[in-house]
Amino acid sequence: MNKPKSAKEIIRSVTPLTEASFYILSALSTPMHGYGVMQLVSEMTHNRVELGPGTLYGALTNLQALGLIETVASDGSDRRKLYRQTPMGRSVVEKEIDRLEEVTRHGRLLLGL
Amino acid sequence: MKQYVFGEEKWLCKVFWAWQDEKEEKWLEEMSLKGWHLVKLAPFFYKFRMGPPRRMVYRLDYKMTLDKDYAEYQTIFNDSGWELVATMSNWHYYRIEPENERIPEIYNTNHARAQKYRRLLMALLPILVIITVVIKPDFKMSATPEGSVLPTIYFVASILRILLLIILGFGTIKIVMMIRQLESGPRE
Repeated sequence: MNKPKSAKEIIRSVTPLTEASFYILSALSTPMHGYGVMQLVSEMTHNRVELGPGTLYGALTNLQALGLIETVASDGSDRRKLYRQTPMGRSVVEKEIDRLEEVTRHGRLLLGL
Repeated sequence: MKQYVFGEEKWLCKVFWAWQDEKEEKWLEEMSLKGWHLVKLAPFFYKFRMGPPRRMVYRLDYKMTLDKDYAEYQTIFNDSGWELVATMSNWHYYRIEPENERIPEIYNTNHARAQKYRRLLMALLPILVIITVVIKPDFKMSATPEGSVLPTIYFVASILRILLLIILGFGTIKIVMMIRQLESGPRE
């Protein structure tokens, strides 16, 4: 149905990342289960970002379809899927970090903080 | 609203269409506040059991049970504490007891919520095409013997098909409008 997209096209279509996608994609620099991502994000943000299961499932599906994350073969004892970043996923999130840093730096500068 | 009470249990007949899922969630929550907790579903029928009145938050989601990744979908909902109370024609009825003032949500943003209706639309469209194009009653009056009941059956079937088409057509338009509205804002 969809033609394979180039890395550039994918980056343009997914950025700026939503907050959910940003956290999910960053968290998956370490392979994790869906629920692991949910817990980690809640802890890090002191429950400010609580990913609902529908949001999480949808984001995992989309990021996987775009080739930004992939599943890792698990040991078989657990039916849960393990996810991790792909190299392209990593470069997308690195670019986003640079962009967000620039945004906050400019914000501070303009407000004299 | 028709109801059939059997001691601690009762069946209620109530009609909610696919695009009224938020209204349905609210109604189920109000029932739980009165102590009636959902147990089972049948088309347009709800079975409740009496228990202590508690505020339960209900959320409906649409997901094809035949999908390849259905097990993973279930795992994520289950792990996050949502109880799957019942499923009916790919509609999943989830429930959770809120721990504090914050209302738990399965979707955090409108864009994420729109995905649910996109899945519903993808399931609805093939059915609409089948009923419109494939199941088209073709009938020749002249070929039936006199006094046959066939014309009556044909007539009833056509009426039913048209009714179904109207409901499905209306539902499809409603759902497309909902998706457009949910996706009209910026992605958060």
